[in-house]
Amino acid sequence: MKLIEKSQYTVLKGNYAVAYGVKLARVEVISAYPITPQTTISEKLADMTATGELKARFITVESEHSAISAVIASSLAGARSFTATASQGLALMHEMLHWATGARAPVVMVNVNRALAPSWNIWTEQTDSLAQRDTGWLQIYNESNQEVLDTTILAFKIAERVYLPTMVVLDAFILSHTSEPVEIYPQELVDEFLPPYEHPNAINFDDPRAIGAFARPDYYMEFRYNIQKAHEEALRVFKEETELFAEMFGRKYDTVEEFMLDDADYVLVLAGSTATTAKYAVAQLRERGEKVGVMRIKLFRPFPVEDVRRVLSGRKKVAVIDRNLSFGHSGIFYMETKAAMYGAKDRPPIFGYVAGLGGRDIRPQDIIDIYEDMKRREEPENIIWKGVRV
Amino acid sequence: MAKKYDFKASELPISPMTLTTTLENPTGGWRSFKPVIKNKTAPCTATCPTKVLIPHFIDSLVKGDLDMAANLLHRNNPFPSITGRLCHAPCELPCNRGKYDEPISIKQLERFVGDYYLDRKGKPPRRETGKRVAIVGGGLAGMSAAYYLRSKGHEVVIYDRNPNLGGYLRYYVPEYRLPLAVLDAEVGALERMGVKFVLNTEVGRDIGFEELKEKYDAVILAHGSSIPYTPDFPGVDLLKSGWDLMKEVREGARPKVSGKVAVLGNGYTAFEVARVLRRLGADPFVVYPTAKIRIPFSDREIFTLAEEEGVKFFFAKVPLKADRRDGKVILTVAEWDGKAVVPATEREMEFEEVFLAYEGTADHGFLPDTIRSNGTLKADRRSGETPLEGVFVAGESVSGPSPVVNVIYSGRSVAAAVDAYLRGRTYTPENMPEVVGYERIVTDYFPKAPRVPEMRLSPAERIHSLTREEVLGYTQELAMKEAERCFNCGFCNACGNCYVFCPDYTIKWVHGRPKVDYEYCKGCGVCSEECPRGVIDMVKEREF
Repeated sequence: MKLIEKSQYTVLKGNYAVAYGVKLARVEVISAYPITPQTTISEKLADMTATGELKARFITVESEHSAISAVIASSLAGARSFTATASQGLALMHEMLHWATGARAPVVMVNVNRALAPSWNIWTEQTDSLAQRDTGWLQIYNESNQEVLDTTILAFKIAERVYLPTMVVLDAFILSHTSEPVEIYPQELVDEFLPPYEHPNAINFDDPRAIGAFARPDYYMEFRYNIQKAHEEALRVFKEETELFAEMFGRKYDTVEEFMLDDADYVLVLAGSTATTAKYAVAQLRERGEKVGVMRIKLFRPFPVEDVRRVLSGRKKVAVIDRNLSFGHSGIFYMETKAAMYGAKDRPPIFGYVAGLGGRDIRPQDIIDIYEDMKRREEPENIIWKGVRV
Repeated sequence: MAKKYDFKASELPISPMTLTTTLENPTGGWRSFKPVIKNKTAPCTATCPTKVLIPHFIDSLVKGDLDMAANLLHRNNPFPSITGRLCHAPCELPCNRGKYDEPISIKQLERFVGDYYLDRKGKPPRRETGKRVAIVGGGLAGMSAAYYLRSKGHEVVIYDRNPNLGGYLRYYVPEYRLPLAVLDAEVGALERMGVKFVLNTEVGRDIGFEELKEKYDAVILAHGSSIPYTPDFPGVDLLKSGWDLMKEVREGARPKVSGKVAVLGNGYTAFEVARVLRRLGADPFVVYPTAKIRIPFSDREIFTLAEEEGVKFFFAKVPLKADRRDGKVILTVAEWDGKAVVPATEREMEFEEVFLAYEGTADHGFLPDTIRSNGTLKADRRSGETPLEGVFVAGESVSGPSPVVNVIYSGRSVAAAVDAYLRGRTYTPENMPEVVGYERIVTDYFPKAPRVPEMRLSPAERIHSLTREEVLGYTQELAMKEAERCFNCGFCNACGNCYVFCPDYTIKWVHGRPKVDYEYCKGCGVCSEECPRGVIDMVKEREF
């Protein structure tokens, strides 16, 4: 792809990478309510809309519930729509998250992972987005600012092919407020990748309809069946679109990322920016001759069961590191990974680690400690707390 | 038998949707209160004696339709160019905007619109009724009655003893306050409408009252209160007439007056005579019977102007005696407590001249005894009906000295009564709709903005001219700016807020106005809450 030569590299914070992704996607309607650590996304987009840099409507609202309501409506009206939030804001949207899925509005939302209150905390933790697991939204986790920009563009493509709302997730501060070099692609290339948005049931004044109809038990279930089918389709679409993206933009993403796994006996499973730390630690362990690798989960919904099984089957031990917790059970990625591996051949023992809640740092040494702890243990445990003072 | 629901999942649309219409569910049945879009009125209109449609005409002004603004204004006030200069503007006192920042400058807006349309006013009526009405006296009351009766299609003939119409306004009010050109234009409008004038003709001298009654279907007596009142105290005959002075000055004379002069009076005329004297170079003192705080509101403006110009006042004083000594007038005055002279307060004062400037009284000498009683006329205050069939009374001839707007209203209401009489109907006074108070104004919609000051001469500039108009009013730009401040209380100006806010789209937009669709309106009341000007009421459907 020759067009790529016209790209420009710039240093961007993760939140600005989102904004540039939104701009390249030619979003038409934005509605958002400020919340740390998301605020600079909506500020940047408001700025872009005000100056005309981005030809979109920015709808100011009084709450996140209204923000998501506005973009669901605009999406169903046939406009490419975007919102962004974090933590409490996402929790407030909960009702409308189900609505977006049920009405099949391919809205894209960026959620900046932030711990929930109380106790009040603005730092990163994945519980906010993972708690919305069953709302029917696609969820894609990111490791770097470049990936954030790329995934924002990809999210529209995927969402609009399967008519499912999509959440792009990045870590508070570690990504949102940290600068990294980011390549901003030429608009023509993005336009070629991402065609204008159309919804088959879009509002049409000549053919009026009300979206969100009543469905009796007779066929409610059929609508739900279709949503599940769309999720299954989304898995295929994700693969296709990441392939095409790699061809056009030179960056390859997959449902799960594999790092130093070829001959690995031990696998560390995690998601988000902690993967970078884990990779760094694993490289050190490799120098010591340890056969260990990293599997980073990028696509959380739909859950890539096949890929997870392919990667993890036959390993000696697996440790899942969760920066989140489902109280009364365990870390959520751990839960999901275990469930995916149930019934798989050559299933390894899987150990659940919980670390870094409320933005506590997860340092390379912590990863090495976890690896060594896993190696030492014989019986898997659901929750092995890392670094908690008891 | 076909299955009731045989859709397969693959046959369903992507989004669950209703394809027919939700109109099948007439949700209006859920309502216990219904929004009613009402024609209400504003405190300004309610206070205005002649009920000028103030929020209405200002709205047209804001929308740039100046012709419509003039039209609405003329509905209840035919002479806005006159009231825009002379009215004491009681409308501005209760203005809801005054409770927010400053009241709307209604008088100046009225003047602007009146002047804008002045030369085009006056069209003959579309249909003639064939009925004939005589009006005795071509002052403001007669002119006002003539305007409305003629516009109803009646033939109107005004009899006046003077060579031209206008009465007190033409022969006494100074040029700096009301330019003759304005009055001439108003008279011209009446002429264009087809009102006939019989001038230099005094009823009772040149033509008899009985003759008028026979010749016409109705007669309106609007001869005013044009006889200056002269108090009774020793030496009063030594004093000069302020009325004559005003008249001379109006006609162009500039008599020499200088030094300390006194003006005796009890109202507008006294203040105006003092101002004329100030301009002629004298140092006038007004001897006024009440305390300063008791000056009626209708005279406040002219009092303030006089005070600014250096006119001095002796309040709560009455003259007891006048004498002439060495070419000077020695005036004896005493304190007046409102009922009687306060004992031992007499004091002598020396003036170059003393002018009598009391308000006028009516001369009913030419009228039969049947409608007179104790120097006044037996007439209904509003309809002007008298015991004589077909004879009506309007204006100051029955009310005594009154502000211009009250006189205009009298002409207008009597015209309505006469019109009803000529058509064989019963006269019913107009009803005032509900007044919207400040508590119903959603001030969030109105940014604070100070009142736009009109252009006017400074007191120093004013006292140097007897002809240059003292208040210059608004330019169109200033008028528009001021008009935009108006809340338009109680008047639906089709702002569209209810239409935008209705969560159920049950407020429709029909011919540029909101209309509630009661089939579907659930009565949530959002429209009523968001109406910036209190037009929409929530009315109980029925008793609980």
